[in-house]
Amino acid sequence: MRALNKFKISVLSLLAALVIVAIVIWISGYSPIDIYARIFKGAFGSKMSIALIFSEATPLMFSGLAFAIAFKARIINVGVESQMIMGALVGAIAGAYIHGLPHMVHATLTLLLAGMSGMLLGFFICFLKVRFHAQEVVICIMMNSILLYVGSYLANGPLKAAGAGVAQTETIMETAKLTKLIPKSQLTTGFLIGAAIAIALAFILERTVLGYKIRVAGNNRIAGETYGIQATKLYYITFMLSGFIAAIGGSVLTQGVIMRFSDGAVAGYGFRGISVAALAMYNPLGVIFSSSLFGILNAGSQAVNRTTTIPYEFVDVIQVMVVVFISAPQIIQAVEKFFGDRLKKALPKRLTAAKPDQELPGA
Amino acid sequence: MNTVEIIISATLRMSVPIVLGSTAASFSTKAGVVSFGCEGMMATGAFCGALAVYYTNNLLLGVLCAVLGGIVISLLHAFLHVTNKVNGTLSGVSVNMLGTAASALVLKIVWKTAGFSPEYRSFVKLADGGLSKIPWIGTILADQNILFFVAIGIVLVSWLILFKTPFGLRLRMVGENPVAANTVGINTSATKYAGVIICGAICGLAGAYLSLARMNRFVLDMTGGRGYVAMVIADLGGANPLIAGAASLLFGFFDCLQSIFQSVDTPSQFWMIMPYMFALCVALVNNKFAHGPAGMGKHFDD
Repeated sequence: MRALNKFKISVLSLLAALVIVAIVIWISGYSPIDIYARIFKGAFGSKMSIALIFSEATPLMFSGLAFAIAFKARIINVGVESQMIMGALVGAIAGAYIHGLPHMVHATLTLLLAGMSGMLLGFFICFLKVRFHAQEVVICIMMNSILLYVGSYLANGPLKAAGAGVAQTETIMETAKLTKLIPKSQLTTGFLIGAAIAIALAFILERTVLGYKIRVAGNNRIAGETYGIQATKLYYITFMLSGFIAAIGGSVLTQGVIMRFSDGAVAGYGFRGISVAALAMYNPLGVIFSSSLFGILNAGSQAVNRTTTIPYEFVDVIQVMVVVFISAPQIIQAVEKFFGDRLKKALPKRLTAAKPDQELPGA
Repeated sequence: MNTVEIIISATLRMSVPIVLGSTAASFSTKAGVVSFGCEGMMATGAFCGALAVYYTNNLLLGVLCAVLGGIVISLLHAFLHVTNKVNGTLSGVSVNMLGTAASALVLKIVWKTAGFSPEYRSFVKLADGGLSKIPWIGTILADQNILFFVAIGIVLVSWLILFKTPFGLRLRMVGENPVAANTVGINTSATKYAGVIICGAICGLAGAYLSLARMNRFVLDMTGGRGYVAMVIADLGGANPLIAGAASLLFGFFDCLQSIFQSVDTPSQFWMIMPYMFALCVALVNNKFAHGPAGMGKHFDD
């Protein structure tokens, strides 16, 4: 699909999702216009809330990027959640227990260590997939639960912070924390790191041989193999890349927001990343925008939740409906055709009439 | 009851949702549709059942609503995958996400609570009548509730339908080779829809068991990956309800270990991981033991 066509489908899918949820809101007795307006006002109301937009967007961006790059190779990595947990855990450990390093070194090292742990996890999942011909989705789902409980065990037991009432690990050292972009907010350099990764991914996909191979393997594996593109090796690379990015995202959460690993902290970001990636039509640069968009929805709905009794859960439903519409673009195209035909009939004939053929020179 | 009886009884109780789920997944798999949406169908069923029982205090109505909820959301999966040719995995994952998100939203709207619903009436153990007098298994059977026996019935009926009726034959044929089935005149789309709808119905029942029998409230995420486990186990048994049912008991055993070992001084998370480890191992060895229908994921006009 051409770029403009993709953008159109993306925008229309979001609109369709908003419309459907508006209907649900209306049925349950609230006013959709009121709620959407409040979300907008809540998100853009103050400097702190704008910071919240991007700090909410940051983990979504990492998760979306991880899912998107895997999807380019037709791999559905729902294990982003497990890789984020892994990254958050390793980040918390490296952040708290490595002493005597200057700020830049410590923070970067922590991120890299976390990324590598995610890469290993991705390698392991891909190994299981390839060696046993199992479906990666099932492996990933099980891995999500397993890693959730491993993290829970560590936060409750061996790594529990001394004197802590709840399940959490030691706070990371100051030298491991990410610099805040806006003081007293949760927005850190993590957002910039994510954007940098997005740009790097876009470059890899469009301008390098590896990216080309990934796209070919995703579009038509068999055709690729006749050219000598080994699908297996590519799956490994893609899974490891995806895991690396997801784990860095988890560590950014630890180093930027929570400052420790706490039981259940990373919950849900993995699946929300699917919506982010879908809305961006799985384009890395698009993920920057779609994650910011969902950041607006999240930040705004938090404001709505603070000031009213209106539930914020419908934001999750919006995100799911986006995935549904993006996965079946024919639905949007059918709706567009339906309305487009009506519009054409309503407009005066001369505006929509076909242009007469150009006169041939010298005829 | 002695320890062995307690363990067996708990195993049976824990495995009912998986037994039902794997039977449901068998229908979908045999029809050649990836049964990824089981998780969402269970969650929707659990929620609809909870909603119905809360307002009407009628358990039968709750079960019916649960089944209906499962059917409705399975229609989305069928619409996306069968009619719109979306990748089965992707449509299944979105169905699962929708089940969770929608139940969270309606939970908030109706009951104004975030994680779980208020309590209501639920299925109880069968009255201690003549059942416990049966030697050996009497006390175990008396410890179950009626849905357990319903589940056994459904497994047997499903096996009969799939392998002994013309409808089941058509279903399996569509799963094996939709192009050939279409040539013979079978409406492959309708048959696949039927497979998915039956899957949704039985998964809805499994969800009803979770929220109406195993617990007496609806908790967010109470399905806990069971839908995927059921799908994996159905594959292990070659989508045969009887074999899948037996394998589900094994999962139930792992699942109940966690409550049995609660008092012992080992980390509880270790036991919680066990069922998922088991399901993971099953997923890994699946390819050696059984093969799904040859026409999995294909459509009649491919």
